[in-house]
Amino acid sequence: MQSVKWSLLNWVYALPLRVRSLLRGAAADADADEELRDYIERQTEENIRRGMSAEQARRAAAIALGGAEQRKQQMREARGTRWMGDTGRDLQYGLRTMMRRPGFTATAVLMLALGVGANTAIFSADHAVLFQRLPYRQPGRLVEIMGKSLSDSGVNRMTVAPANYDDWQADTRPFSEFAAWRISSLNLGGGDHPERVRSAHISANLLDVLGVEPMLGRGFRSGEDVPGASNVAILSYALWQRRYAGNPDVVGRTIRANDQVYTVAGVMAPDFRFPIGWIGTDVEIWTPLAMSAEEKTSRKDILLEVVARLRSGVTVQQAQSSLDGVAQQLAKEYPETNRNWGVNLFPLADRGVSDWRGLLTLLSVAVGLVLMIACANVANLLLARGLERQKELMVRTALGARRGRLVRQLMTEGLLLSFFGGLLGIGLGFAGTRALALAAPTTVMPELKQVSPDGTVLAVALGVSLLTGFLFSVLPALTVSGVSLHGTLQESGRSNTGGVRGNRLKMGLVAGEVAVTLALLLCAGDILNSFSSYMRIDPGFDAHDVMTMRISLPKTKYAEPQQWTSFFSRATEEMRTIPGVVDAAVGSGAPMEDQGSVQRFHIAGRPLGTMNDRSITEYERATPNYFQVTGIRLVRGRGLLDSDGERQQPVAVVNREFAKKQFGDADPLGKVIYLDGDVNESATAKTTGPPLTIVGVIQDTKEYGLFQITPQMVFVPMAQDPETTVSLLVKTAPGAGDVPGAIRRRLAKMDADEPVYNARSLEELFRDQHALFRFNAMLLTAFAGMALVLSAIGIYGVIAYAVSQRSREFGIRLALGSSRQKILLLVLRNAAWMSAAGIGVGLALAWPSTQLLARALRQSMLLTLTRTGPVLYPAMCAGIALTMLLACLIPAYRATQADPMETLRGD
Amino acid sequence: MSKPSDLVQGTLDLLILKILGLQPLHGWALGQRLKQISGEVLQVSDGSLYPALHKLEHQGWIKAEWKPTDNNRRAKFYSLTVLGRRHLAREAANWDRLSTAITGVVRLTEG
Repeated sequence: MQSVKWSLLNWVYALPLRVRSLLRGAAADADADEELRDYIERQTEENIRRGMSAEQARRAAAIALGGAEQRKQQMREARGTRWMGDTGRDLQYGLRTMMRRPGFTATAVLMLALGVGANTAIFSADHAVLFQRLPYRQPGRLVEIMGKSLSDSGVNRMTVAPANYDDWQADTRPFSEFAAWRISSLNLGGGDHPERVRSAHISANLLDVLGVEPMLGRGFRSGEDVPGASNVAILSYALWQRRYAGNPDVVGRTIRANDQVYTVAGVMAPDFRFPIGWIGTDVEIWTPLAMSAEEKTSRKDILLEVVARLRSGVTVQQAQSSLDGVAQQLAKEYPETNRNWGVNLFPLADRGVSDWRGLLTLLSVAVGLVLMIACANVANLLLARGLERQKELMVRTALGARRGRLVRQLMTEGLLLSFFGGLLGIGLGFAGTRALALAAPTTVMPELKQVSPDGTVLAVALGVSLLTGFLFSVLPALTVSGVSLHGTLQESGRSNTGGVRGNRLKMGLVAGEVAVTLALLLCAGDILNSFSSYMRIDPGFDAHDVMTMRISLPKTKYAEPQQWTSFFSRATEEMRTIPGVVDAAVGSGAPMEDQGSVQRFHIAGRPLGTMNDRSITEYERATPNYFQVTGIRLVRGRGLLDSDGERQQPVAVVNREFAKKQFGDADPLGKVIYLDGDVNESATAKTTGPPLTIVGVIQDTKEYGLFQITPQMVFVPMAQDPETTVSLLVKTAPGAGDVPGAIRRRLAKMDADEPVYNARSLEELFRDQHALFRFNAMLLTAFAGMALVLSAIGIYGVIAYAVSQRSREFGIRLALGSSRQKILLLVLRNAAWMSAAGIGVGLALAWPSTQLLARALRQSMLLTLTRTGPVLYPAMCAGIALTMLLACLIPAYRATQADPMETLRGD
Repeated sequence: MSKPSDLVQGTLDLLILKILGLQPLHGWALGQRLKQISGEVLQVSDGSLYPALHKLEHQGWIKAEWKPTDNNRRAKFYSLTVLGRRHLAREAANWDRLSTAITGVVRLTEG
């Protein structure tokens, strides 16, 4: 122990010396020179004193020293820096070798950089989305509890009825606490501009369950989440900064929201988000969840989302089975409402993530394969270089270089190469991550907004590239020692075909690349094909030049439904007078805006059945020209008319899907339906509505989005069932100016407190629908393209090397009368073999990989993959074969240009 | 080649450290002193001193300094470091133990 300490101290002590002699080896040498000269002089003088002649004296002194050069070398070694000096020389030599072959170096470095960069970007995104750490205390113990249908409807993430939530809380063995919440939104009034923000009603203990506290002020107290308690609110950091200029005095002050007065209780920290994984904008204001006594005891109204904290040591599975018992008990006690309903526990961290997992995994695999191809190529290049240099290595061995020394030098070169590749790759990774954050469809994947290059990911990618450099630079060095010196020197002098062993490995690698590339290409082809077929889907409406925006009237200010109707009809009139506006309408929501409600209903003369796809319908109110503005065609009967007023006979227009599902081939016109209330709202709030006579049928529209099912739809005149929160839709002339701005100004004149929000064009909504799809198709295609280019480089490298190795052979063949075509075929045959093997394996890989792709698409986007099938597969194979052959043309042509005289004279 | 064959491994280092422990010396003077003290018994070639000195310097046991000497010349003077002094004490004790033991054994076989 002691001696270890001392030797360490010694080492530290002498470190400056070592560094000096390393950095200034020349200076240290000069120093030694002078010292030895000093000895010679002194010894010479001494010898003269002893009576020698001057010349004798100097000679004797030199002999006593015993060879100045040898002594200097010994002194150099004594300085203990040989190891470092060798490394320095290896580095220098390696750099020089790299400079001497700029093409080789650039290709290898670029390929590695591409692989490392792309991987860093994609895996950083993975990391951001899949492994985000929730900003809560011990987030791993938080679970979300949802309803699950035990019948075959497949619903497994249903919101929860309050009474059930209440009963669950008796299950205290696995859970320590429960909390509930509900999404909503608020109109913030006062100040310069009104604003609509996303809000959540939360039970008073929710923040406690999450284990977080407000940055300023306090959380909610128990007793604040009952109806009639004074209104309090907690603000998000972003809202506080934006609307209240980050003023801490806002705590305790009052703000106006939905035309009511709220006292600000607290402000959350910047990193706080709740709920996470909610598609759409973040919640920016939290208010207490105040349910009426009626709501609280309801088992029908599925109002709540529930989070709970597991006790330590309890697994999700244990908690699930415990709560399953409670649910079964409830189903027995309340068969009417709870039969066939179970519970489903999800780790809170999975919220909104599990859907993307498949897709991200797929992209990760694809990009990982690109890195593999890049590494295989670099390996090939290094192997080729190594074999090419076998002669050089042999000569050096013959001159006395030890094997370890050679290995180290080749290793240094390989590592240098991959180091530069990795370095450039880090740069590309940073750029790629930025690009990804910009290109990502943040409406559906908000986590990607803040994606930044991940350290771990970078390290792994770098490690892989360094490992490649290491492995494949050392391999040739090791094979050198396996071959007899004599044999190799002879072979490289006279052999004509090159070693078989190295070639087989290289050809195998290239065939593998071709296989992986083909599999990727086929996946990309499939996804592009599906994409374009989805793009051809007729949405049933005309998105061109239609703007939609939301507006909400507070019932406190506009108490009477007549007031709403008159406000909106005035608003429509106003909008029509704006230059560039062709037509305007009001409706519950624009197509794809997902704003309508889902209602239960029954047909007159038929009983109210159980709740299923057939007995619920999308329900929307609309003003008469809604169909004109959105370009939805009428297929039977009439549309909605101005004459369908408040006191007239209640009418409805249904879509084709509705007519077909309910009446089959019978004429739906004149049939009467009854609505039985919103499936999400309290059943007590609404009872069966008036009889609605069907007067018209419109064509089906992709109301929920291009990739979704077509729901049954019922439209009623806005005047007959007014509402306060609606969409304003305007059809503009092509190239109209700032229409939303103009609309905002006109409406502000009518009521300055009520904001117009979410102004978007239908085309935008349309684009958002397939943003994720396009994003994935784009990335996958990019990766497949990268793979193709890399494989082409790979095959080019191998063939070019083989040709350069065999130029003697070709020369001899030509000299013996072979034709240049035959030489060409000889070279291409090699390439053809590699391509054919690769294509064969690739086709075998295609089935499982497209299978995976199909599953990922189904999971994340509910899409079915349209298989490209018999047309594209052969085309892709032919394409890849052609690319490979093209990549070989240059070296093959070079082979035919071999000059017999030249090659025979060589060596 | 660098070390005289009839010196026990490591002995040269000990001798150098001991002599430098008495006074700082330059290489040539060190050689002279070595011959003088050991009465020419220990045949140390002058040339082998220098690598040994450099090694000791890099081990941190001695330090070197260019200093002026007689008639306007400079020479590289070596002296013990604190660490070198400790090392010397330890090595000298080791040497004592070793030589006592060897002497004992040698006498035993003779007697």
